[in-house]
Amino acid sequence: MGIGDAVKPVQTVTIDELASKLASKFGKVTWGEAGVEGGDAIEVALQLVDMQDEILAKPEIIRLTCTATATMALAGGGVGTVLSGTGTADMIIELDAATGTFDLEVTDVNVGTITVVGGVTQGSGIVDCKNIADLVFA
Amino acid sequence: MRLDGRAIKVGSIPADRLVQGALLDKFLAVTWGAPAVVDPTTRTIDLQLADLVGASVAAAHTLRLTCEAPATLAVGTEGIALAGDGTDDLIAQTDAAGLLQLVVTCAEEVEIIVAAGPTQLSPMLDCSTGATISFIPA
Repeated sequence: MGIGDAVKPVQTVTIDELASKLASKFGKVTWGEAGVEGGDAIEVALQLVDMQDEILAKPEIIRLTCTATATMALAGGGVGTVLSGTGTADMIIELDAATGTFDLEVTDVNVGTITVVGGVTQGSGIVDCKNIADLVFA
Repeated sequence: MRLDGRAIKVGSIPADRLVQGALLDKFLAVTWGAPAVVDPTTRTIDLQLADLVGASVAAAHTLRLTCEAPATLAVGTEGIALAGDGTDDLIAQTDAAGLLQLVVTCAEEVEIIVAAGPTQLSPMLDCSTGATISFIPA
């Protein structure tokens, strides 16, 4: 075996080889299973994960927007903090520091699919927000 | 990089190893200097772009800065205001050294939190650190 076979090319460095302090700089928004609709409301949990899809427990700040007919709020008894915009379609939240979670409640009196998207805003770290939540109101 | 052909240990790569291929420069973080008192209603504070290991990054980048409503933000001697100069919602560009001097004005004797965030034209920015500026007399 030549030296070229022994040396691992830079291009093959994988995410799991990053030190945890570095890997934790990069978050990703994921969504849990939507709950059952009740009282024109559906609950769904936003969970921050790292690039290996492991739970990332940090108080990340995220902006949530949803389809205009719906409104959003912290679910009753849920974790996380609303910083602004509760009861609207444009809300800024802080995830629960111990779990990296925000328990979201979306309300809509109409029938149809409500799409919730996350995004970075003032105070955010580096977060991949391309995952969305589609909630079907019957 | 190890020359003995063994795999890189999981979780072993710190941020400063990302310097290879200029990857480290792709991820920026906002850091803040100490506020300086100009007069009873005016403070200045320097924002410096840094990399993930805390080294200053000399590059002009665009970011959005907001603060609580009693205060307003303006660009001082370093950086350029692109929109909202003299308001609580400022879009600005650092100078070529990655430095932006903010002038914060507030007529009330309160503490003001200033938050940075990415906006149109921004690179990947970690803005999770904000600045607290006191207008309370010593």
